[in-house]
Parts: sequence; C-alpha cells; structure tokens
Amino acid sequence: MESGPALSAVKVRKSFGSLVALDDVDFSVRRGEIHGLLGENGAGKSTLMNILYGLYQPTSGEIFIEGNPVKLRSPADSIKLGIGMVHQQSTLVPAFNAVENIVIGTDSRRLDFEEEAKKIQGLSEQYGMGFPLRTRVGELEVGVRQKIEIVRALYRNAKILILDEPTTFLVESEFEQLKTSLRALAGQGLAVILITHKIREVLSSCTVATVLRKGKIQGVLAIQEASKEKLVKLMFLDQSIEVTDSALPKMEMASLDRSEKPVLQFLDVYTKASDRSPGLKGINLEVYGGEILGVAGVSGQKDMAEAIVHPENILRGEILFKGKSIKNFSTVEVFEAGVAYTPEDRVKEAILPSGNIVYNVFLPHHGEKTFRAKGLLVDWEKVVRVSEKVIRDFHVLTPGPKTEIRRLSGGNIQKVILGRALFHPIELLITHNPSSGLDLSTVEFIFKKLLAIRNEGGAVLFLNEDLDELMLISDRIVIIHGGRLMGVRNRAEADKVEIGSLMVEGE
Amino acid sequence: MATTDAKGVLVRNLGLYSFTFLIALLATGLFMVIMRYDPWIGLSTLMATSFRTSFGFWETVQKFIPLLLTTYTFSITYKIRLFNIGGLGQMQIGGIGAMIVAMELGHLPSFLVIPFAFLAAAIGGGGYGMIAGWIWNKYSINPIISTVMLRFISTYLVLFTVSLERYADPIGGHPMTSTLPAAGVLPYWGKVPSWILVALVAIVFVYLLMRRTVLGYKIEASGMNPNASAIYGIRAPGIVLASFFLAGAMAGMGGATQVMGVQHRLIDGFALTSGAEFSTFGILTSLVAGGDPVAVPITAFLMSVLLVGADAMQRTMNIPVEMVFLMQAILVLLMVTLRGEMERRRHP
Amino acid sequence: MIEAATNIISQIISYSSIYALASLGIVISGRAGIFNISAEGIMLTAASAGFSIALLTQNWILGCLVGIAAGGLFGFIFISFHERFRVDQFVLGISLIIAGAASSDLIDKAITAHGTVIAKAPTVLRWSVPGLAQIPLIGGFFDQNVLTYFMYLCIFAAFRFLYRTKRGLEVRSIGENPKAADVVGIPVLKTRYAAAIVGAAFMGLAGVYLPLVVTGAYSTGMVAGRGFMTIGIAIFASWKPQRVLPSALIFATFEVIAFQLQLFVPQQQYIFLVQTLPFAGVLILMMIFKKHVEFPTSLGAPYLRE
Repeated sequence: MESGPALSAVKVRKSFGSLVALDDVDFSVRRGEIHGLLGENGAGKSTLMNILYGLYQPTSGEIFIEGNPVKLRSPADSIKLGIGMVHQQSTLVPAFNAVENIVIGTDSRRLDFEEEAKKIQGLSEQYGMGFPLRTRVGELEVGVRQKIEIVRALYRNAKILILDEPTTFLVESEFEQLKTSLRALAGQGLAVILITHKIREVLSSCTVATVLRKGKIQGVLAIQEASKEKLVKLMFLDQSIEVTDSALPKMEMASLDRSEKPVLQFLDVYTKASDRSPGLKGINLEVYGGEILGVAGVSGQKDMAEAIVHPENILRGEILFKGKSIKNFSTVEVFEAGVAYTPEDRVKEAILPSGNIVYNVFLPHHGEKTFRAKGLLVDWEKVVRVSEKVIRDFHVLTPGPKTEIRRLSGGNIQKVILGRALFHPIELLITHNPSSGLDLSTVEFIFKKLLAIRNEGGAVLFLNEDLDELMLISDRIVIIHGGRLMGVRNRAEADKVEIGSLMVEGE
Repeated sequence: MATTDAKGVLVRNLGLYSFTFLIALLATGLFMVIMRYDPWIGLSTLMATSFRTSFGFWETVQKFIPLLLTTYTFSITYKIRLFNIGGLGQMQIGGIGAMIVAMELGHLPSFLVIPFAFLAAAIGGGGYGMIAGWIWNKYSINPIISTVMLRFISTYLVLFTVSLERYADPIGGHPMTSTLPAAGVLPYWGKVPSWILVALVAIVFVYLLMRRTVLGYKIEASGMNPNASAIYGIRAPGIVLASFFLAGAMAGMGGATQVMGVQHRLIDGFALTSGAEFSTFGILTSLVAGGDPVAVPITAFLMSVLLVGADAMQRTMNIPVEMVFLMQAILVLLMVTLRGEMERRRHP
Repeated sequence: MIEAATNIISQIISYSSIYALASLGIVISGRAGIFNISAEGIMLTAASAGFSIALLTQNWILGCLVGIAAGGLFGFIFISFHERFRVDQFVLGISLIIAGAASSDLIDKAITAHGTVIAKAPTVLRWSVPGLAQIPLIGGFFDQNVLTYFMYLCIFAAFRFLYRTKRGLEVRSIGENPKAADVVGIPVLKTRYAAAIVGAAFMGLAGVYLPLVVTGAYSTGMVAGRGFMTIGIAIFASWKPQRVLPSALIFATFEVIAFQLQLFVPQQQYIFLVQTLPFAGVLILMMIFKKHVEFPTSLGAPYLRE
C-alpha cells in the first residue's frame, strides 16, 4: 500500500446562496480502502462527491490527489486524474448500448465496435460484472446498469471510485455481489468511496467510515472500532429519536384489529405495459382498514397506484373501493370517494413548482364542490384557510401560505403534499416513497402520520422500493414482480433476504 | 390568485420594463445614426406621434384593440407552453365569419347583426385554432408548425372568399369584398371606436378566467407541471383544446373588429398593420409583458404607440418601419433575458 | 412527355436544395439538443444580405459566404442567449424569426435607398455530369448548380460524422442525455455552440440559395413559410441526415406540383385553393407518418449542472 492518501479534500466549503452545504470539510481516502461516507439525507455527502467529480465548484478549499493540489473544473478534469463516479440516478444514454456508453468521451478517434467490445468484456469479467454489450441500455435493469457504470469508470483507469448511494435500487443478493466486486477492486489498489445513509451497509462492507452531519465532519473510524451506537451518535444531532441499523426511526406499532371488510380490492387486474414496466398481470389483493399494506418490488408499484387513481388504465379485472367498482370513475371521482395519493417523485409528479402553497393545496381538490364559490368560480379564501391549517398541523416551515412552494425544503414540500391529502378524512391513502431523501426527524413525522391513519381505522397502501422502510411500518407486505403478485408476508414472518429475491428473481 | 402578491410583482417589473425599454430605444437611436437619420427627430416622432394630435391618439387606440386581442391569442396557449404563432390565421377565419354574417344577415337591424357576427368570428377563429390543438393532441405535431401552415392556408381562403362572385367588389383592383351593409358596420362614438368595448370585455374576461375560474386554474396548472396535473385528474387533451379555442376566438374577434369597424369589408391584408401581422405584435407584446394581467394592456398600448410612430417615421422621414420591428424584437430578447436573470437571483 | 417530366423533376431537385440545406442545419443542431426554429428569419436575412452583396459585387460566391455568415451570427446569438441567460429555445427562435424578417427588409431598404441597383443577378455555376446527366428522368440529379452538389456532399458528410465516428456519437449523446455526456467528460457547452452555429450557417446558405438560384431577385417575405416546412422535414426525417434529402424532395414536389397545377386551373379563385396544397400537404404527411418519428430525447431542454 502507498503511504499518504490517494485523494484528500482540505477545508472544503460549499454554499448555495445563504445555505451552507459543506462547512470546512476535511476528507481523505487511501488506496485499498473501502471508505464509507455516512450521513443522513441532506448532510452534504452528494455535494462533496460532486465537487470531487468536478460537477460542482467549491466556494473555498483545496483538493489533493497523491499529494498534488488539483483544480477540478469539470468531470473531464476528474476523469483525467483517475476519479470515477457512479451516480445514484443512472447517467447512461438509454438509446445507446453498453459499448457505446462506455466508449464515448474517451480519447481514441475511431469507433471499432468489436475491438472495444472485447476489451470491455475482459474488464468486466475480471471483476465479476458481466452484462449484455449490444442491448440498448434503456432496456436493462437497474442492477445491470450500475455494473456498466462501474466498468465505464474502470475503462478510464479510475484509481478512485465513488459510488453514490449504490444500494438504493439493489436487493440483498445484488448487494452481496456488489460487495464482492468492490473488495476485488480495493484488493487491486483502488480507493473506493461508498456514499450511503445506511449504517448496516457501512458496517458490513467498508473498512473505514467518515461521518458527515449537516455539512460538518463528525468523525472518522476504522470499522473494527466502529459500532452502530457510535455511528448513530455521530450521525444525528437529535439523539431523542431511536434509530435502526438502516438509520430509520424506530416506530411503535400498536397491535390492532383490522377492519372486517376490505377497503380496497384488486380482482384479477391487468393494466397496459409501458417502456418502464410490464404493467399489472392479474393482481389480486385486499387492503383493510386499520392496516398498512406494504408493496415491495423493483417495478409495478406505480402501476398499482395508477390503476386506482386513473381507472381508465385498467384493461381487465375490477377494482372495488368500499365494495363498489371504480372502473368508470374519473380521477376526481376517485378522490371524492375517499382516496388520496402522494406520488413517488415529489417535484416532478406532485407539485406545481412555480405556484404558491395555496395553489398546490388546491391541486387534488380542484374538482370538489366544497371549494366552489358560484358554480365555476373558485373560493380561494377557503383554500387559503385550509392551507393555513395544513401548515399548522404539519409543522411546515414557511413564511406563509402564499410562498412559492419550490422555495421550501424537500421535507416541507412532502409535508404539504401529505397534509393536503389528509386535511379531510379519507379512507385510503396511497403513498409512494414518501420519505425518500428526507432527514430523520421528517421521516419520523411522516411515518407517524401514516401510523395515525392506520390507528384510526384508515387503510394505507404503502408503495416503496426500500425494503427497510417497508419492514419498519407495514402490517403485511406483498411482493410484486413482473406485474404479478409473488406472495404476502406478515410483519412477523417477513425476511429481508427472501423478499429481496422474490422482488428480483420472482422465486 | 396565482402566485405571489400581484402588486409587488408589478412594482418590480415597472423598473424592469422602463430600463429595458430605454435600452431598446437607445439601440434604435444607434441604428438611426448608422443609417444617417436624425436620431432626435426620429425617436421623438416614434414616441410622441400618438400624443401630439387627437388623430394620432385615436389611431393608436384603433391599433390597440386587435393588438390586445392577439396578445391574448398567444398568451393563453403560452400558459400551457404551446406556441400559437399562427394567430393571423385565426384572425382571418374570424374575419371571414364576420363578413359572411354581415353580408347575409345585413337586412336585419344592427343590434342583431353585430353580436351574431362577433359570435361567428369567435367560433370561426376558435374552431380554426382548435384544429391545431387537435393536431397536437392526436399527432404530436408542434403547433409552431401547424399554426403556421394553417395560417398560410387561411390567407388563401381569404383570397378565395373575397373573389367569390357573391361577395367580390366589382370595381376594386385589390382583392376585396364590396362594402358591408350598414347594419354590419361598427360606429364611432364621436372619436371613440365603439369596438373598444370588445377590448375592455376581453381584459375582464381573461382576468376572471385565469384568476377565478376552475378552467383557468387547470390551464395554469397544466402549464406549470403537466405531469402532476394529469396525475391529479386534469386531462391535458381537453385543456389543450379549450386553450386553443379561447385563443383563436380572441383573434377571431380581433378580425371581426377590423372587418366591421375599420375596413367595412373583407379585404386581403386586413389582419396586417404597417405591413406586418397584428398577431406578430401580439406575440411580441405577450413575451414582453410576461404573465402579468395588468402589464398586458399597458404593454399592448405601448406597442401601438410604437406602431403609430413607426408609420409616422416612414411617412415623414423615410425611415423604414422595419427598424421599429427590429427594436421590438430586441426589446423582447432583453425583457425575457432580464426577467429570467431576476428570477434566478430570487431562487438560487 | 418524358422530357416534360424530366424538367419537372429537375425543378423539384433544384427547389429541394432549399429545404435540404436548411433542414440539415436543423438536424445538426437538433442532434446536440438544440431545437432552432428560426429558419424562416435566418433565411430571410441571409437572402436579403447575401443576395445584395452578390448583386453589388457580381460574385455569387461572396453572396453565399455572406449568407452563411448571417446564419452563423444568428446561430451564435441563439446559443449564447440560451446557454448564458437560459432563455427558452422556442422564445428565442420566435424572437429571431421576427428579428430576421425585420432585418431582411431593413437591409434591402437600406441598400435600395441609395438608388436602385441596376444589375443582372450573377448566376451560380452549374455543372452537368457527363453521361449521368443524360439519363432520362433522374438525370436531373446530375445536372444541377454547384450548391446542390455541395448539399449532397454535406448530407453525406453529416451522416458519416454522426453515425460512423466516435465524435459524432458523442454529439448525439448530448442530444439524448446531456448529463451522461457531461459525466464522461464530453465538452457539452462547446459542442452545443458549434452545432448551433454550424446548423444556422446551413440555414443561411439555404436562404441565399433562394434568390440566387431560383428567383433571381429578392422580395419581401420571399421565403413564404418554407422555413417552417424545413422544421417539419427535420421531424419527418427523424433527425437523420440520410433521410433529409428524400423528405426534402417530397416537400419540394408539393410546391412544384402546386405551381404547375395552376396552369391547368381556369378560374382565379380556384388557383388560390391550389396554392394551399404545399401547406396542407406538409401537415397531412406529418400526420400520416407520425408513428415512425423519433426525436433526440433531450431536444430543446437546457442543460444545467448545479
């Protein structure tokens, strides 16, 4: 092993206007390490890595590679210096195949497909990461695409490999494979940086851990000396919330009798396939009042939500809400019947970014007669009053209801989305990844609200690709794969590994 | 009720407008110097002609009316990020509709003829606009292309209509119909063109529509985030059709005011002013004024002042009107850029 | 009969150069994610400026260069405002169409203000490929002016560049997913500047071709909507250079047929209806073939890093 760090960042500061994302951060990683950068959502981990990769520029501070000071003005600079990065969201060109994706941006002029394909095949097999070379990347699964991104970095002779939340879309078995590959890479002398908020992952795969909290480094530990308790103490300022190994708040689930009759029933439901999902293929399930039904899967959750909220998408089968078929309901009628929905991507699918909070609160309720003044006119005063109530009840941090919603933090935006769904009583809440990217106390707040619905007899259809979150608060979990239901597990008997393999392989 | 407080936005924008307008004026002055015209006389003719004589003022008002309407034509569809640049076509079909009603029902009293003519114009223009909306929904053909193709088609439709034996002016050298029957002519009230009412009604209508009705909300929401709007039950195709209909109806009414109030006949080129399309100036006005409902009428009036001034400059000093058009285009670029920069300062 | 047909085909090919050159420009910028709709304005200004210079200097090559430069200038303005000030591409395009239309008349009036230029328009060099030009019907492809041959060359070069070289692959990746291109170190900004300027330069050449080769004179509004049709062609060709020429030929056919049909229509009124054919034809064709059209995924979207 070389002496001295492969890469170090010294006194790095990054502010976005008045917001300080990184506050004089010192970070260094050595060859052969698998270095975990641990912190809750919003701690600044991705910001630091984007600086190391040349995507962001630091407000101040220095970066050294092998002891030499460097300026990283763009990814091209970082790549030249041997830094490779695998982003959380795929950065491949979906229309190109693996070879094309790996080869673009490198120096050689000619494009000899066969020659490059051979080279790439060799490289990927060396680290146990095989993948199809000639298929359009957009058609491949997330786990496979991640391998392509890793090989893309290796192809450019990366000596330092950064992986940003790599397990977001992986199940247990895939994570084990990833660990093996990373160990092989570290064994070859690469420095590997693993960004994550999951304590358990750091403990099981890393050799060193650095903890970041609200933009400041809290400590660096060798894994032998680290423990869950020590890491939790460093990660969170507010020690009042008890935390699980995946850095989620511990939630109390009172035992409850669910309702006799199901609130929602899927009877052999089929929906259309699209390019991101095969659609639903004969789904049968029930959701009862007084329970949180978790839906695990790599894809298909969105199709379930859309089947309920846009019944015109149902090809075959029936969906019954409170015993009545909703097949001919319009979206507005579904909401009026007592259903609420919070979509997966809060910015792209749930809000009107340039509108104010009042404008956004009105969105799911635009069809309701309660907000009409004289027929076609909107009673905005009423909407304002409701918005103020939402702000109060959900502790939304904002100057007022007329604030533009995009000025709020992600957590506050999610609170508005949830609050507007719940301000009048509903019987079914469909919620998809409500806590993604949020800090611990907001996650706790949101989960408490979900449990409150359940405890008062409402039904929650909890769609989530994160198995840890599902297992935290679901009464039952169903697993969906390829549009089909693979099984149902009660909270007590749920096993992460089993569910994970059902999600991915279907057996 | 849409975004943050309207008054604050207006005050902020007033400074912005004045500043960019000054720069555009300076650029025009510079052009004049380069082309060896006297910039002082030129600029004063440009800005002051509307206010020097009563004739100039009412000429400005007369241009303002169709200009305002075609501004709404562009801005209503711009709300949903669609570019209706073929407003001329919708104006022309509206004009045809008004002419036909006036000619065919001209024996009836004017309190019947005129409303029907406007109705025909609105439906004609609205329907013609809706074609582009329908094409977008069904075939995803960008309205930039479809409205322009339609606008060329409608120009020939106007030529076709005015040469029909039934309507054509037997003497005229220029393609046009004979004069409309008296019942189809819009009167002046002293110096004031009676069709100023159409403009005033339009201002109130658009304001109420966008700020207080559910349809207006649906249009705004679809523009802000089509995904989220669709998820929560606002169906895009219906909104597209409604927006294009309203936009086209506005232009159609503008066409009717020209036919019944200004030319008293349907004539080739009726939807033009100073040699360029009213709808072009409508686009420029809309882009300068942004989404602000107070700014639109003010900016439209300002544009009319510039157009009257441009005509005067060409008449008295031989300065081509195109110089003013170029200035207006530059003004748009500056405004849009500055507005964007200010937005970015507020949300880093 | 064959001769008449050959002549018409020759005319179609000649007209198609206007469409093909401008469309190629739109496709080139489009592949880098830039949707430049201002062809109509660029073509007008290039026609006016380029033709005036050609007339004054009696040199058609200079005229072409001026047209190309005018296009390049518009392209530069477009991409600068878009990348530096993040102005929406369509708003920019519309503003430049209007500015281009105004400029074209302004230039024309400024030049004629100093006295009408009484000169014969210079003719563009023509060349008949020996042997090939004599083939009936399609011989027209080989009996054209130099600019048309230049157009053939450019289409071929653009196709080879975009689809057979690594650099071309990189350009296309910017149009598909600029973030992906950025993270592997491709210079996104520089490439987009180049694509926008080169693309607009082609539009400029198309603009000056019109008075220089087809009409022999400049007149107000002479582009007459062709600039918008070329956008349709670029879309119809699924943004592929190799499809631009056949598409341009189809659209040019509409124009020429509508023109020829007029001779057979007795009444003036119905001539007006015949003249709507090219425009209706564009729309109908695009509607029929909608399913087969593909766009670069990130076309028209600005790319922001932070």
